[in-house]
Amino acid sequence: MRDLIKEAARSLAAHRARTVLSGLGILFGVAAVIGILSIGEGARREQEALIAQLGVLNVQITSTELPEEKEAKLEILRRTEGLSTRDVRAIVAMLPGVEHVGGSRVLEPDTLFPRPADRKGLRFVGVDPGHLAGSPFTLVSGRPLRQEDEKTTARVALLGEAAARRLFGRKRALHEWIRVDQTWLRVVGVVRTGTGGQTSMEGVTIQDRSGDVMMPLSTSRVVAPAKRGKAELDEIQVAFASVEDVVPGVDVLDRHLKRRHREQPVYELTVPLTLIAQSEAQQRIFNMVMGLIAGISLLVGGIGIMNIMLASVMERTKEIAIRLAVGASPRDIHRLFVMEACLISLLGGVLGIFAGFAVSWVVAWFTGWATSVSLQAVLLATVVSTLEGLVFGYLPARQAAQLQPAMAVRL
Amino acid sequence: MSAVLEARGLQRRYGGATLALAGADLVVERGQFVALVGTSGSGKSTLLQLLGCLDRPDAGTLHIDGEDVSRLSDDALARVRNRRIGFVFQSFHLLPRLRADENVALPLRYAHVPEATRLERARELLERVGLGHRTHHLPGELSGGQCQRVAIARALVADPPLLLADEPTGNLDSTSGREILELFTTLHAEGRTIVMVTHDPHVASFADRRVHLEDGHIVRET
Ligand SMILES: Nc1ncnc2c1ncn2[C@@H]1O[C@H](COP(=O)(O)OP(=O)(O)OP(=O)(O)O)[C@@H](O)[C@H]1O
Ligand SMILES: [Mg+2]
Repeated sequence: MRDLIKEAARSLAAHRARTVLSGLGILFGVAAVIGILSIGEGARREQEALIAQLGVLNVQITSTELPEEKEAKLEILRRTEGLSTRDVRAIVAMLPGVEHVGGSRVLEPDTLFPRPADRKGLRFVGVDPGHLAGSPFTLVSGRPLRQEDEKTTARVALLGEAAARRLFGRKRALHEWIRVDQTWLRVVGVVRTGTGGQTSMEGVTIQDRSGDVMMPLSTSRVVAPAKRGKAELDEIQVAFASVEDVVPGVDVLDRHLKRRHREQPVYELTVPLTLIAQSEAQQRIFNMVMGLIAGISLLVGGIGIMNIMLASVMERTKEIAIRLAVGASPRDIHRLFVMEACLISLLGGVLGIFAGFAVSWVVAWFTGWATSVSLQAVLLATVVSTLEGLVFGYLPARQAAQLQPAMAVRL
Repeated sequence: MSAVLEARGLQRRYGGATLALAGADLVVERGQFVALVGTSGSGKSTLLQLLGCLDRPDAGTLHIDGEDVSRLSDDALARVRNRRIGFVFQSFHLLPRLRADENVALPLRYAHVPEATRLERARELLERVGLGHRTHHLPGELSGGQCQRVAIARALVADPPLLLADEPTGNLDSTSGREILELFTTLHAEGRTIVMVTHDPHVASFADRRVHLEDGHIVRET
């Protein structure tokens, strides 16, 4: 066996350019496989992050912008006033399988204390504790907003981590005071949201909640009373009790809301669960198509090896005949060529793994997609490339082993 | 004690028409030096290939060292070539990428002798053919006569009972040719059994027996 590997390696080293060229196909194939798997893996992780941010059990009902044009706007406002706390109560009353329901509204205060260097990313929201209950937050310090806060119009605020950093820097935010327009609020807690940054899925932008300054809904009305011509709530979040309830629940919800708002386009439904299902289906198609391409490139790589090996058998007829003449059996010759094919494809495979890492990195750099090379992908690539050597080396090896030693005398 | 080589009615037909060898009988006893002579195309090489198990006869039987090799599988026949026969070719047939000692050691590699042992044995043999100082040279760096001596060392490395040579001096100038011929006569003097194809009467004159071929027939012996 050692003799065999040495002999094969030696003859490959003697034809360095040819070896590299024939291994190139495998290299690209393996790089493609690893790159593609890394994109798939990255997408899977992004999805997990999304679930962490929105929650699969939640459904968001968001107010749509009313049209700019006055006539059209009035036309809508005559029929409905948009999302309101009455919708919240109605949902609680009619929709079964619901765990929490709560509304929220976004404020746009003019003045702020402490004054942050940059207000970008900060969002001021009045939220119903029922809204918060369904959100996948983890408490970093302090306490969440409670039902009593809502009832007593407590002057309290709950900050996302990014908001706390923006307002107080390194200082501890808990128990500090902030002023939003004319109202002072005391920070009672800091929370961490699902992920950082903005993500987008299936064309829906998912807002990062980490920059939120949250206060009870009732308190938000003290800070800034409802404006005429604008919906009372900007968002209602419905949290279902179990995954099975979500899809039928959304149906009922949509029909009910349509009737309540007289078919006016004042709201939009975001259903993370179906978004994820859609994106998973797309991911599957992507994986299948790309997998096919990668498979084809591996096949082409293997055929490349076979092609070059067959040519090399022709060229090495004399060497083969000499080996046979001094006592090599056809089986010895067969093994030599299979070993050469395996070494080529293994070499291509190993280089391909490195190239695959590079592909994954480059894709991440240019597209901003999260990519991740898994250990399984690397193992798969190694096994596949070695197998390719065995499979595609077989035919040339058989050809070589069928040569007759008598040729030695003639050559 | 049986003959080293015993061929009965060996026939070989190439393609459809030409009967290159039309039933040859040849018995070679241990220690004999036999020359196969005849005009070009008379079937000398064809016979030698059959004797050397490089080719299979269409008819007839062949015993080497007492063993019937006519019905062996390809792999078993390879073993016979490896252990029982040393073959020397007209144009040396060394592997160009192997050093002299590695070329000599090649048959032992297929006999599964460990690398260090076989290289040591190869050097001993190169020593014997007078190339002890050229063990690490590639064939391209050696003269024709030196290459042929490497090839002879290779044929002897597994210590086979039978040494076959097809015009071993055919590609050499007269000086090198004479040296190679001397080497063969020395080997013969040491008791080796040799069958050599040649069309040079001078070379043939060193042999114990001269077997004449004509049109695929053994016509006479002198
Ligand atoms: N592989 C082959 N295919 C077809 N015909 C062949 C083959 N080998 C030999 N022959 C024919 O068989 C006959 C005997 O050839 P062989 O090589 O044995 O002659 P030879 O006595 O060795 O001649 P030379 O002295 O020229 O080497 C010739 O007519 C040759 O053309
Ligand atoms: Mg001849």
